[in-house]
Amino acid sequence: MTQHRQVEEQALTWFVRLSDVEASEADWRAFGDWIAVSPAHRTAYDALEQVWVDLDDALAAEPVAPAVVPMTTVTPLRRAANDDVRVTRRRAWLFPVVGIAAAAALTAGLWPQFMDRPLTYQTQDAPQTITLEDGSTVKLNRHSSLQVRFNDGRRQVALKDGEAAFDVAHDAGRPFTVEADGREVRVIGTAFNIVSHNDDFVIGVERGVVSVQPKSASAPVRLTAGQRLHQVGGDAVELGAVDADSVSSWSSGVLVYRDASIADISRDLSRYFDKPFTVAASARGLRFTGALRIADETTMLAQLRDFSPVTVERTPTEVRLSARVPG
Amino acid sequence: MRPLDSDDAAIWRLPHDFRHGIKQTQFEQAVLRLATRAWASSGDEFSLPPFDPPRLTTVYLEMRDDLGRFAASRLGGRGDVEDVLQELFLKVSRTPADAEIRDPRAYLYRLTNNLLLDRWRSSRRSAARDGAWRVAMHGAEDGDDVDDAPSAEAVVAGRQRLQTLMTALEQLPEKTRTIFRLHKFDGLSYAEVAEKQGISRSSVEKHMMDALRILAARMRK
Repeated sequence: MTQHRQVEEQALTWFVRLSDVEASEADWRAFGDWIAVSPAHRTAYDALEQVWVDLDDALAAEPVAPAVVPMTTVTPLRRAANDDVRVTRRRAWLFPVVGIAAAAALTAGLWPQFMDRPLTYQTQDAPQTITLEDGSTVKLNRHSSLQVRFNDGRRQVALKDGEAAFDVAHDAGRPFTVEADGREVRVIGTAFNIVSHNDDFVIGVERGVVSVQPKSASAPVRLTAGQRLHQVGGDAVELGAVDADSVSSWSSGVLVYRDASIADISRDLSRYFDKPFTVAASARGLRFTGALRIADETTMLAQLRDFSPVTVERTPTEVRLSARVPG
Repeated sequence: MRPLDSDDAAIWRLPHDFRHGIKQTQFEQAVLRLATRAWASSGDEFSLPPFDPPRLTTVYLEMRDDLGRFAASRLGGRGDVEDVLQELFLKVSRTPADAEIRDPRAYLYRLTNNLLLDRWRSSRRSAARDGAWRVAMHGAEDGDDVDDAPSAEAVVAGRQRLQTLMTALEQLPEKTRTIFRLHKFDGLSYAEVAEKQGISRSSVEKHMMDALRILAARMRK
């Protein structure tokens, strides 16, 4: 075996070992030592990583048509293989799913008459987690409205207003679609977050692949993990990156921002408190990195004032943000 | 949650760009103090998992130098290690306290590795070399990105590359392909794949190596 081939085999061994959740700290350290030895090691390893990443893109480029989705029975909510946290958390929440399934079986006799009537969920001042009959979950944010209509061949939901984080159970035989103000999002098995309020539409993907049909666009747009699409009304869509881990951070009680504009933040808060926010010209250029804990209006505005250089003026009908004058 | 230490608050209030001028650990410790204080207060209708003690954050601070060295080796001088560490810290600080992490030290290495991979992936995307992605976007955009759009040849080459890869994947021996897909696309761990296929964990590793060896060889051509 040539030396070159030897290095390739070593890289292969490392890559495969580290790809599994069971890789230990000692493995990682030894790998760190190995890769620091020579640029040839790094190059060999990077080549494998390149293939790994290309495979994601190749999967994303496959048509969304159910036929080409790898059929491995009905896979309940799979998480990324190489993420210890998620794998362990998955087990924890299989229980509620089983519970709901059992309850559904008991009431199965009642199902047909409701089959074609959509179920509507509406939240007021508190978010709500909904477990759908297929095991998918939807975390519905405050002041949001969701309609669900499932039948044998299709899983259709419509986000009428507000924000929702979806974790969709993989079922290649029954496509899952989300409609939001005339736009359609097609899903295989994935997790993503949608905001649809007034003219604003934002979708961020945490895991998997979705296909979005924006307004007045000729073709659907495919998004994979870490990508975000924003559209105001029927304007040109704006594509960007989003931290896959914070796509639906709101559902754990925190709003996480990285280098966000005050306008972005005020849009979120306006939705939370169902109240218009005005951003003064002086504050439009300000950026914010950090986390806001979700709480009542007074507390959240206090956090914003503490953590960013703005002043806040509140009236019963409006909130106005402007840049703080130094001193 | 108030009063804040004036230093902490001052650090938070700095415009984002100025933060790079601050000694990183100082920023991190300020965030940690703030987060612990602000988030530990409970009694709100929407209760947050308690943030104390943020074990992962503590482990991160202990391992910061090791992780920095690891990132430097991986990057081989091609990126800003401090920037990676800061992004890593943001991820660590927002990991829910109730997340079950079996081995936080191994987990932090993995997180660093994934973060480097994500960065590389997105820089590749913004470098507009990813043919399939650009094609997907094409229909939805007006002409304003024509200047940095890849040439038609580059798009075709990118698409061909993905096609070659998918073909190579389909041509793998059936068992190897099934095992590879279960891990890579369905996210099963080796132990789960082994159980499902009724084989040993080391056989799973062997199939994974076979598959990647063939795919990598095909892509080198």
